[in-house]
Amino acid sequence: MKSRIAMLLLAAGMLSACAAKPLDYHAPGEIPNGGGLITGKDGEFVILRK
Amino acid sequence: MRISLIRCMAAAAMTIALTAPVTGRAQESEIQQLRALIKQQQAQIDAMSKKLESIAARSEQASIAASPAGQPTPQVKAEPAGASQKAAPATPPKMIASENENVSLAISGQVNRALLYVDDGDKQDIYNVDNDQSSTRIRLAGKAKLSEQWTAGTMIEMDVRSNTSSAVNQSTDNGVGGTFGERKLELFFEGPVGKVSLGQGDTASNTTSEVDLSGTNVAGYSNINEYSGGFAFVNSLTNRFCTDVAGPGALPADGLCTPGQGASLDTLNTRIGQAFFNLDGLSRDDRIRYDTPKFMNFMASTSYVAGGASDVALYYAAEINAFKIAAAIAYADPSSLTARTGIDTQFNGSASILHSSGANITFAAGAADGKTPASVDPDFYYVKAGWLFKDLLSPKTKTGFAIDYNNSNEGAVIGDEGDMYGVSAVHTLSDYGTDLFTTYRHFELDRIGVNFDDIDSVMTGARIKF
Repeated sequence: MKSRIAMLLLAAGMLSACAAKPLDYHAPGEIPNGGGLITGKDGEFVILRK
Repeated sequence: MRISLIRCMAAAAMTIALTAPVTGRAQESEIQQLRALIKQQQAQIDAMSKKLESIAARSEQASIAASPAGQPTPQVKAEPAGASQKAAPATPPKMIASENENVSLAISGQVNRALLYVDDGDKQDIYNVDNDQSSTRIRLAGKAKLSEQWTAGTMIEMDVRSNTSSAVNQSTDNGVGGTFGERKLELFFEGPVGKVSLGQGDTASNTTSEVDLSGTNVAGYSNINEYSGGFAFVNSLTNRFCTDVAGPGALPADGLCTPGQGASLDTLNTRIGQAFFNLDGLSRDDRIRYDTPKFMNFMASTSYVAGGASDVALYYAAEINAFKIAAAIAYADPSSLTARTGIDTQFNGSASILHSSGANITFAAGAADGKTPASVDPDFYYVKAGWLFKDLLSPKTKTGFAIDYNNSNEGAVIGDEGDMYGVSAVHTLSDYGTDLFTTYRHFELDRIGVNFDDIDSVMTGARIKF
């Protein structure tokens, strides 16, 4: 019985893994993603670009 | 002689008289040709002008498309009337440019300030602090594309934590910190086989106890120390937050709590930051780190820290149907670090799940082995449950609520047990890079043979990303 449950969970996990899309995770203590008050939607000043 | 002169003059007069009509006709013809030429040239000028305007328009559109988020580049200030004779350039000149089109240098940062109210069971006070859960800082991030597959980069990130919430306490409520502190000073190379980073930066295990998708991180997450770590528990018997001891020589106890000052050798009682912890790997340090490429949304990492400490970690982040899932686990050997002299090895991890409805749950745990039987063996676990609303109060905003709990054991003394209960709320104004937050937390420390007063605190403030 336990082995069947384990197999079921494993199969569910594998199916879930196949359906998974990448997630761009951002650590909580870092400067947040997204726009800034002054920098606008980009959230940063890019000062060096040709 | 006179006759011949008269004849000569008459001949000349006749020649002029006969040729004059012919010359006038020739000039008229030439003028007509010139007029035709002028018209032709005018037509050419008009055609070229139209072409120039078309090119200028296309160039401006291309400049707008190339600028960040489709924003137009700053326009040159309009010149006053009469000064417009000088042709303005089709596109405004860039202030700073590089000959290499594959490089960029970006500046970003944030200011995070708050008012922190603390009731230590004996006294109450309000402190003006820098929220150390995401401190005030500035970042310079450089990146260069070396080839189609390889990228090199630099990262300089410094923080300025004036009166940081992790250090202010009952005896020092002002003048704590305020100088530049290092966070990241590193370079990296990234390509198809992974990423190598060298310098001061995140070790592989840093943030592995802090995975959190609740959207309330700026108000509170598993790192309790950064919230109000400096405050000392008040001894219920003496009603003091420190131990008043005699100074060197014959100096008696002065009846004051002045840790490290004057003749007194007073020492603070156990602080929140000592009793509560999240065993978050090896933090940031001077290290060399390697990250594997992502495989099935997994990423492994290892680092070797100056002095001999090392760690390994495994990260996962994915979106499965209506769920966002992030998790990390790590094993670290911090034994060579002077800041972790009592710890031999530690194991920790965390996971967070966010449903599309906004419901979320976060869990973290860890344990460490002391070097000797007399050393503490710290362990902890942390849980948080919350709800993240979108556009609850206004469009383009997020509002998050969460309750959390931390249980930390043997942070300072064998047998110690700490319990923390918290409630947090964060309102995020996405268009303005601003988070408004407030948090209430209640701390309890149980120690064999000693009674401590509970500590209550409320922190309210804002983080603005500039």
